[in-house]
Amino acid sequence: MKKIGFILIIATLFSGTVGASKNREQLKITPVSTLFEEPSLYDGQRLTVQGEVIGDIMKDRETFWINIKDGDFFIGVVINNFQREEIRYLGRYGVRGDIVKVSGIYHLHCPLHYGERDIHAEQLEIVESGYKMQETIQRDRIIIGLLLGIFTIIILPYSHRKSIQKGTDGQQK
Amino acid sequence: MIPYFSREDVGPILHYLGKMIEGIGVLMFVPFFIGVLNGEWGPSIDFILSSLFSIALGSVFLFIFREEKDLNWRQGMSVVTLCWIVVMFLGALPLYLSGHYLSYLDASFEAMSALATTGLVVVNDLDHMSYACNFWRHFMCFIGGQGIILVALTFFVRGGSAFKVYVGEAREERIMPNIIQTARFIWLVSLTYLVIGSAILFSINLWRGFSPGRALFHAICLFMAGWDTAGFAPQSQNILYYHSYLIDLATAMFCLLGAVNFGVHYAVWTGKPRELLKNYELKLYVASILITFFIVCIGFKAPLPFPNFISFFRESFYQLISAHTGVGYSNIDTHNFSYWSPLAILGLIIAMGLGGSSTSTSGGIKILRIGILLKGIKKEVKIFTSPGATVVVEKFHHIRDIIIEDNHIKMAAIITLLYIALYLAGGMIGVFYGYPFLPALFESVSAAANVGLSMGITSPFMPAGLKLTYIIEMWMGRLEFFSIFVFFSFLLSLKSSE
Repeated sequence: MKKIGFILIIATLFSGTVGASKNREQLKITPVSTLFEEPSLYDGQRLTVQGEVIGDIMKDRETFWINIKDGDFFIGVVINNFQREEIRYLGRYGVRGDIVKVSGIYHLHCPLHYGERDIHAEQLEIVESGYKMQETIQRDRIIIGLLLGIFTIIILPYSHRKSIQKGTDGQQK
Repeated sequence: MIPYFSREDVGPILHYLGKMIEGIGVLMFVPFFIGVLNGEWGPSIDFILSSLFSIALGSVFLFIFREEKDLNWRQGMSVVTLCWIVVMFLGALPLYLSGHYLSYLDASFEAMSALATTGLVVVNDLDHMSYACNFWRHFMCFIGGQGIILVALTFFVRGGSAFKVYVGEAREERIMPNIIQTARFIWLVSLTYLVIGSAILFSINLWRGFSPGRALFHAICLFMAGWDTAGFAPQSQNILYYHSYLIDLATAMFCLLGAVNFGVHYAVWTGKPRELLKNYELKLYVASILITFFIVCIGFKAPLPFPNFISFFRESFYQLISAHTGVGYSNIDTHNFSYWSPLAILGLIIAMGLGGSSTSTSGGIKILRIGILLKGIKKEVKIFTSPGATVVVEKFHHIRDIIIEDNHIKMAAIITLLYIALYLAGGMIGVFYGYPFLPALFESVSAAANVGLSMGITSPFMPAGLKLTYIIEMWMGRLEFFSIFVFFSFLLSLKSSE
């Protein structure tokens, strides 16, 4: 009986290890850059990418499009309504977008989306929540602006007045 | 004999330049207000600072060079040439202050690309740029596409000087008898289409779930850059960002409209729609699009890397329209060109090199010149095959019936040769910097013909020498050489008179 129990425990642990490694395999993050550098290698494969959601969420029939930025590379991701509701922050001026991890099928030329390069998301997870950034205003620029403003107010009417007077003289000559 | 420039020419040139500089400073108030409306205080300060600097500089010029008199031809050409360089440097100032550019050279590159309606970009992290700064990029496309000089003509320049500076900016046709009326008509057409086009794009964006503010911002920016054949977009991915065939369709339509001669627009607007069927340049343009698309099609070898014909058509035809109209919008990533064959890429290069219609916002050799050259060849063949005393007359319809004269052929041939030389020179410099010939030629033609499509060479990290090369190509391509040549002869004559 003890032997059977021991075997069962070992088998359970072993199966857990296999499951975990399988899960790790699936969640191994593929840099978006490799999808562009070796496009056909990943075409039709299930993979996971990670990046910042930027811009807007765009409706497309029953699904939605988001764009993910990973370094200098971007990929369009098709998500469903539930996944859309997960996203809180979209990367824009003054806003760092949510960093999401997306698992799904990559298409080099998606037959459903008129040949677009995309990922159809199966899972979407917020890895790091986005946030609003504090705007920094440089005081020296305000001072330079004020000085330029004063200079402009002084010279502007004077230069234009002179311009007209001299211009009339020039024409008379 | 070509009259020499003298020091007396300097005053009027710099006087008018001062007016233009002040003008650009005033225009910077538009992005300033956009910044204020969106609570972007940092960028708003950058714009007010840049604006005041420009107005102050312009005022200093006007204060020192007070003499206002009508410009002669060489002065007019010099004003245009200098104006584009100075406006580039001033337009780059708020861009540089935004922190999205690695150097002032990069900001200047982007400013020239916008003003010359090219669309090549070296911006960093565009997706986090302020609305004010992003709007300025697109607004510069609109100012440059309409013509900096055209803007000035409407507000500042009077009398006999007007036509001289108008021609200097690569526009020869007077659509209306008076040049100021012509400038105002071009504005009327552009602003009308701006309202209609922006409304269409706004509706699409709104329907797709954009907030009203962002839908409007994207619509106006996309229209300004599309109509003026610049090809900038508010996001890094360009048109690909939208993942929408409706946006593809709408922008392609605006590209085509922008690449049509303003004279044809005028004819249609004044109740002469038959001009669309009779116009020689337009007919040739359609033929050229079909021929270059055929080259692109045969360039794709079977098996096609697309799941269906629509995908193939969407990718290939959109890039072709974008190339031929000189817009440079792209609904693909630059990496997609890796599976385009050299022949398909050559098809795009030819389309870019030929460009759109004359007196439109697109660049390149221009279809009318190709048409004149074809007519010239036909005329020469007829002369050779006709009896000695026969008088051979070739004519075509372009707004009115025009008889081909030797002078037309000579001018068309000179400009065409200059463009080809510029394309090749830029390509060779690209090769010198270690890039393969075809991408280097592609990028060079894209810059000189003011298109903006890229095979990946243009980036913030390309050599500074190449950035400078493309700036010069964009400048020369936009002004169509002659005003620049006149300006350099001015500089040389000043030196020789010392």
